[in-house]
Amino acid sequence: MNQEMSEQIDKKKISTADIQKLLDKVAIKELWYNNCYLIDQGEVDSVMETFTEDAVMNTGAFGNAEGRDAIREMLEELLAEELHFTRHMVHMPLIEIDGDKAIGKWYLDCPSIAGNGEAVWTQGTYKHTFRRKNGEWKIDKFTFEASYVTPYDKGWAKERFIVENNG
Amino acid sequence: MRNINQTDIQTLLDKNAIEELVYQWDYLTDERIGSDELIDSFCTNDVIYDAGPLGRTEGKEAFIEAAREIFDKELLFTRHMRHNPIIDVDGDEATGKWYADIPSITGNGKAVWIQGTYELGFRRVNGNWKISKYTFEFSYMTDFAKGWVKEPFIEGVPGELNWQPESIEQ
Repeated sequence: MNQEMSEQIDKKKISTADIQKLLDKVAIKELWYNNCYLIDQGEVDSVMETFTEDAVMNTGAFGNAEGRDAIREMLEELLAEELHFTRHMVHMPLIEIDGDKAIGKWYLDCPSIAGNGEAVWTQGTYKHTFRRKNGEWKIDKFTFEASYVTPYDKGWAKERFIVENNG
Repeated sequence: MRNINQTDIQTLLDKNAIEELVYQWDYLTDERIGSDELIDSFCTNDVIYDAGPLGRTEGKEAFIEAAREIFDKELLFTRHMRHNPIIDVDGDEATGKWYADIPSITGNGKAVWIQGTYELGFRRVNGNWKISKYTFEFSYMTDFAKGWVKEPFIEGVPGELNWQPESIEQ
């Protein structure tokens, strides 16, 4: 950053750390949005590049896994057997940055087709942690808690979960 | 942590400006302020529009005509709710991608759910971002009473839901 720009920023009492935080928040949001598009296209290999080697996944009834290989296996199985169509639409991002660590929270609304061929609505909350490695943000811990996974024809009051959910 | 430069800050401002431009466009579309005024002020003269079964046009005038047709006759009510924004800025050009979830009412009074992906292009003209490309790929346009498995596209709108029902073991 040049001297003049720094002076301008300092006058407004904006620090370079503030700007870095904004850049990090945008990077993390884009990482997660891009993953949503990739998951919906079944591109698990590309998704896995955004996880740390020792990442942990905790999604209640959808399964839990530790380590990148186990997560890959779990995702591939989920997409092949339990979710034939998904559109992961995520909203209301809250991102907290703490140096090279971060937390991101989103609501999910996901029209899907379940393993039995039934149209379902899935709603829930993502809470992920991220770690910056070699200048790039990676997913460290992936958490999803479903509020409902309900058949389209019934809705969340009549049948909250089509599958048994421990979350 | 790498050094922050002026381009980083400009990119943040541009991403924010583009998101707000598009959200404003959606609110105004849903309020039906009139396609003429809207497209005239938000788009470049050579804007390309492509919404698959709903049509494809080149240039402002053709886009206005197509939008009039759609919003006067085919979709009487819409709420364009966009999600998952990814904006890439490259100098005075940019692209944007979103998912959209659009509860709507068709010309014959039917409630439908539309879901799909927007891919937009933008150009900075005299310091202001304008829409230069507007494409929408439908995942489904389903009758509210039926859902995306029973009827992914309502009658009269050609399309297929991208999944493999034959892989399901009944």
